[in-house]
Amino acid sequence: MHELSLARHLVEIAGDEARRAGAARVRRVRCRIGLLRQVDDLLMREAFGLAARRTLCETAELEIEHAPLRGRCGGCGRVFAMVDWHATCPVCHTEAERLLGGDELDLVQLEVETPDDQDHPDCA
Amino acid sequence: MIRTIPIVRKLLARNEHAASENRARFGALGVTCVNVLGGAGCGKTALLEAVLPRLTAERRVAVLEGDLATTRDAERIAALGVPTAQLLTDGGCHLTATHVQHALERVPLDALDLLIIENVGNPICPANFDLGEHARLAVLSVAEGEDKPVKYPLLFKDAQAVAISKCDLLPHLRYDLRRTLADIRRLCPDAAIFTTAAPSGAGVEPLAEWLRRLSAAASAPHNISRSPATASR
Ligand SMILES: Nc1nc2c(ncn2[C@@H]2O[C@H](COP(=O)(O)OP(=O)(O)O)[C@@H](O)[C@H]2O)c(=O)[nH]1
Ligand SMILES: [Mg+2]
Ligand SMILES: [Zn+2]
Repeated sequence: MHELSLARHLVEIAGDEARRAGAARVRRVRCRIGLLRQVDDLLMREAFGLAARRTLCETAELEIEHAPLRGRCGGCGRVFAMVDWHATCPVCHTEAERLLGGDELDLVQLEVETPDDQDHPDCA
Repeated sequence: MIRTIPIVRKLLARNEHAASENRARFGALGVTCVNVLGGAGCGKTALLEAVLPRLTAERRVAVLEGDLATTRDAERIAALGVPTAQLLTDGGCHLTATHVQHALERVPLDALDLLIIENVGNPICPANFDLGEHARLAVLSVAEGEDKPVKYPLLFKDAQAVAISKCDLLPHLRYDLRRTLADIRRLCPDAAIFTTAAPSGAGVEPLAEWLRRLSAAASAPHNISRSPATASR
């Protein structure tokens, strides 16, 4: 499944960003995944654990933020959050004619541990 | 010391970088690239076998065949006299832009108008990976059931064309084609939709014409973009 492949990419770019910040270790990785990506949280967590072995993310906790699917109403043009595929416009009850979003796949936040001397180079 | 760093980086940035390199290379050579995606057995190779003979008189075409294992599909295409390279993913469920980058060495890229990539048969994973194509052709067979656009939404979301294949089987199935079409429309309102049957060749000519137009457009301005608007023209 694609979770493993996505997890590898996530660990790689999280590692890049952490190194750029001078981190010794990543504590938390937060990503945003759209509904259309059909990523299973449980599989993604397992995959992240595997992909993170022997990297800065080894002991990091993965947080998954789900990005919703939105629909543009075929009647009045309003954009509304779609809880399921056949959700209708809350105002005029028409089906969505076009789907928006739901394909997000981003790293959005890292919590890292930096060695203290890094923040006070003069005291090193 | 613990720090929180806000970032917004695309997870697939590395693949997208390789994809844009591929796209730039295609653009510079005036090659149009089409990524054909769909589940295993949905009829991708059969559709290519039907459509390629209608293209080769006017377009210089080559095919990259992505597969988990075996070179059977590549042999089927090569039998038509079309230059073909096989990409084996060794069990991997999708092609990446890097797979394609390596395979480009094995087709006569500077003597092509159209490069068609048949992705690994899988309706979910390949849709995540841009290969540098100018257009995606999603293939869905009626044998898979009418609820599939809902189950494989990403397959259609970025498609510029959709082929609903094996329509010759419709008389034998309980299948509401209108429901499928409506669901596909919501996912890709601007895509061209073809209903095809490989054995009789029904619906294959409109698909051939779509491919001809796409490849003509690209070789002229050299900078066709992968926007839905491109396909609807
Ligand atoms: N009846 C019918 N069978 C088809 C059609 N297209 C493909 N098939 C059959 O479906 C099976 C899988 O086709 P293939 O082209 O190999 O699928 P792929 O895995 O998507 O490349 C083969 O047995 C084909 O003969 C079609 O339009 N109509
Ligand atoms: Mg095939
Ligand atoms: Zn409305």
